[in-house]
Amino acid sequence: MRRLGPPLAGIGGVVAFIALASGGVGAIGALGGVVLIGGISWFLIGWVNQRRPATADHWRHSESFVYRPTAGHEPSSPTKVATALSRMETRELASSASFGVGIGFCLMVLVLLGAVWGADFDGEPLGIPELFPIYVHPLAGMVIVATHRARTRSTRDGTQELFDSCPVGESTRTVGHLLTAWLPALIALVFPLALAALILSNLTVVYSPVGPRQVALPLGAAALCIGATALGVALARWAPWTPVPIAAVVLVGVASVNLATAGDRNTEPIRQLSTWLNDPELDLRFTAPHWAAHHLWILALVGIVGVAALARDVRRRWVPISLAGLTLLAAGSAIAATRPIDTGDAERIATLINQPDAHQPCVEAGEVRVCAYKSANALAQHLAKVIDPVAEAAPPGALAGWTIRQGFDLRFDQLDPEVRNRLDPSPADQRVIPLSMLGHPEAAKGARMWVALTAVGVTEQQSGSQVVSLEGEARGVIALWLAMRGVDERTADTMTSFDPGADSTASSYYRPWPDSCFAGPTPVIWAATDLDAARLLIAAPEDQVHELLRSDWTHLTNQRTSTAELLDAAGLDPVVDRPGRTRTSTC
Amino acid sequence: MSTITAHGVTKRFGPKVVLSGVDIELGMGITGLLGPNGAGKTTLLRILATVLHPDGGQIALLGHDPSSAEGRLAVRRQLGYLPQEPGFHRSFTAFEFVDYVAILKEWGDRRSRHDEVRRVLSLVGLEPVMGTPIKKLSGGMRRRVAIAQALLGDPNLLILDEPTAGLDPEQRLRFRELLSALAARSTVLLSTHQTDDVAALCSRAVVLLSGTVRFDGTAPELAALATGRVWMQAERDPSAQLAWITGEGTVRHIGVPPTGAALVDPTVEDGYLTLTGATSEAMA
Repeated sequence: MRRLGPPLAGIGGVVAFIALASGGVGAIGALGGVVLIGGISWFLIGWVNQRRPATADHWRHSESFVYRPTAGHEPSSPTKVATALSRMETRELASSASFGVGIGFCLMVLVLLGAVWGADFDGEPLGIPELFPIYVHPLAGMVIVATHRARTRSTRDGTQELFDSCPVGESTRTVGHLLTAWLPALIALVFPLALAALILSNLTVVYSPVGPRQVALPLGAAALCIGATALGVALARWAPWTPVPIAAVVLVGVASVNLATAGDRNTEPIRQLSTWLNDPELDLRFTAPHWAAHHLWILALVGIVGVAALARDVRRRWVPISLAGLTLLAAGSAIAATRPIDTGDAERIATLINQPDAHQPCVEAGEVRVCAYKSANALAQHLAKVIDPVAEAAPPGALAGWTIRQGFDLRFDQLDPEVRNRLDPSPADQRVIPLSMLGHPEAAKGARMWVALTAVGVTEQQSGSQVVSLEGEARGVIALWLAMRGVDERTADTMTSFDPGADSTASSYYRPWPDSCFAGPTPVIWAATDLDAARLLIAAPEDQVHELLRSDWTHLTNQRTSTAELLDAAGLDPVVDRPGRTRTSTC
Repeated sequence: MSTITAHGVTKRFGPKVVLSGVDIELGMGITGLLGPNGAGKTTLLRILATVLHPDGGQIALLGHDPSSAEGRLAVRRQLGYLPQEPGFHRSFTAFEFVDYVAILKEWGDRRSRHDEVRRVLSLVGLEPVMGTPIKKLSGGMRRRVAIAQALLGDPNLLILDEPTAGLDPEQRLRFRELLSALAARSTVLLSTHQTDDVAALCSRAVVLLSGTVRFDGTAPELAALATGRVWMQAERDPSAQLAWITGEGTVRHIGVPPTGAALVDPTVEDGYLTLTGATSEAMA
């Protein structure tokens, strides 16, 4: 228990620091404060105890003294000795303040991304694993500091002379320290998995593809932590001075960030040499980094620093041979990782964008087909379920031939030039409702609205370049009524209570919902009286409204038919005229 | 049979010659190494503990040549060493520290190692506080932690640099018991400034002065060097080589006694002081 003080103080310090730096994030800030105060208190209690006189000493001369000889032992193998040493050193590592700071960063990321902002990942969490190596960097940095301090402890504490008189040499001791890498590696594995589990628990639908590339990412994060351990130990053997690990962390960090931001595109091949691989901003389907070569490069670097740690004390032929071999491996993997995109991959990605229909299985929802890339089939299923009540409520033929389809709506300039050169500028299918590649909880609601608007003949907003005003038009009210099929009363009330404002633009055309915290201004706007009318219509008996719409669909969805006419036809009281814009966003 | 043999051992640090042709041969039992500060005791012990290479001379320890890697390993497997200033990992408990050293002594099996650690800690009376962090222990207790680690595995060769520093008189008695028991099967070489320890413990005494061995014999033989040269009188005799007031208020002298002086039986300390005083005079 006494060992908990330093790591707790480290964890608390990080939590409090981040909470303060971010302007205080409520419970997180309070939690950080509690942990910090707890850790410091623990420290102080330990310090006060240290000041207390030692336990009374009873070692006195006695006639009953009997010397009990040793039971003896056979010298253990270096492997067994190194393993025993690593057990003790692992415990020391776990109880160090530096390691606590690293764990604190991990926990902060876990809490912030996993719990506080976890819902923001809703939609396609494809990019989550891409971030794992980034998130373990603070831990890796602290591991460098902690292992350097652990390996130089004997010099600092003056035990070196005593240890030198023991049969176990420096090389075995170094191996013992290197073997402590399992702990940070385990945390680097558990932490992203816990993060992913937390995020996934917040998602309504999960449809990330899991392939070797995704599996390799947490393993790569673990490799980074093994490398950090090896680097700390290697630096301790070659440069056993206190500022060295801090300088190394800064140097490696700067080099990594510089490499990670080299060039203009996220898909810049040189970036594969960084340990800090940025989230590519593109859906991963449209990138083809040489990820295996990147991991090989990282593993080669880890191997080099590991052998370098041993090279200080081991004068065997395998050391230079290993170093030469690993250097060759590093060079080869660096070349392989930074080579241009393979032609086959460029073709494949271009085809995904040019002919999405060839790569997207579809699901029926009434007259509408919902199509998504193969790995997003769960999304298509989910959306089909969401829009089905909307499509079913529309009269036959209103949505005939329409498809909701995933399309490339991301930044073309982020595509690899080889892919861009292969893009076909031919116009898209006219009867396609776009489904964004950017996943979000609002996307499902947006899809409902898209279908409803399409059913009433409002499709101009699909160009994304104009704002469509449905002020005073019955079809706008009908669209809202259709879109609310299958949602509960409270949601329907909320969804029809927001007006986006006069400055609406079409920038977020794929989420044309009146109340979206994340969609921004919608490309379709209603008058406040239309929203009032929609609420009246929604409150009316569904069968009655349904019958009315089916009987006079063409007239009621005509652009010239007013909201007042619709209410009259439905036998509802007219809404009180009032200024156009009623509410601002509740976000 | 000799377990430590050193012939012509020399060591210099820069221009300063610390050991100048040291010759010693030691067998089983306890040998006390005496000498003033700077005489080269610690350097000699460090060389014999294989942590320092001599510049010249031949050494054999327990039949092994420590100049070779294999020889050093063989020696270290049978060696217990207490440096003059043993450091501690202060966050470790007494148990953890000794346990750590036990691992460095190739004690890989946890259960037997822990039994051994408990054994040596109980030998030095630290069993009740073995779970206490070293930073909370008194100076004497820390010294005993250092002694405990040297006892791991009952080494055949035990080299102790000022082991009784920091121990109170009663603890020194207990330490002597402990060492005497161990000496029955080991070679023990200890350096000390406590001549009464040498008298009480050591079957042999070696006095090192200015990097050379000036005396090598039994404790009584060392005391005998002062035979007829120690006397007591009420007033300080300015012609004496050394003089000091004893607890009884009389003055004890070492040197050439005046006619009719009240000669007393010399102690090991008298012999040692006679030797060092004579050397100082010779050097002067």
